[in-house]
Amino acid sequence: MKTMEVTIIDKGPIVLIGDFELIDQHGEKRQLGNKVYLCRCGDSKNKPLCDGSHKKKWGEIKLADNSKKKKIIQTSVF
Amino acid sequence: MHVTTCYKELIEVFNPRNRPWINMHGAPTEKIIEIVEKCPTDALTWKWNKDVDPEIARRIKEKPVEKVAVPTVKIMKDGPVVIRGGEFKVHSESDGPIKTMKITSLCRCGESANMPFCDGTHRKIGFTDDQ
Repeated sequence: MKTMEVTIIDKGPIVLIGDFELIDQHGEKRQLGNKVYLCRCGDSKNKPLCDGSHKKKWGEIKLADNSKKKKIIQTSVF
Repeated sequence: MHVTTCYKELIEVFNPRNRPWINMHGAPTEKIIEIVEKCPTDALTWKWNKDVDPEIARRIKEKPVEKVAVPTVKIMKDGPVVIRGGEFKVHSESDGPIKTMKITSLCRCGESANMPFCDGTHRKIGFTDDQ
């Protein structure tokens, strides 16, 4: 079993690699293989999957500033 | 934690006063299997020797190995991606590893002030999956 890796692509999608269980926004289990690209720009026409729409929107997304190696505090607000 | 089912029900095989405490000749194979499978803590497990008669092995199948839990990736309707459970690592392409909690909520609306994490902005902007 591969430890799952989550990669945040700059100006791009979330990439999931490895073994995981994926449940979509309708509550359905999805079998999409070991590498899945999830939209994080909000504009994909094929949510939750990336369809390249971030290329148009790109430039407006900024990562939280951790250039000074501060801890990134994650809020669990839905 | 000792539940002690084994020696209470089959002392001829499982006797903690003996060394070794398990006597494989104390009872028929099927009986030993029956008692081992009663162990609720999995302190006792069993499997067939390589030279087992295939007919017998077919009749009494070994239990499959328990899988370790994998992470669950849940797409919240009109909300973030929530990743929890199992083992997972998060890293940013440009900034390297990101320390996260056991539950991670990643923004899907693209407007969080705390990217890549959700900060609730999706509610304010009326982000929706339906397009």
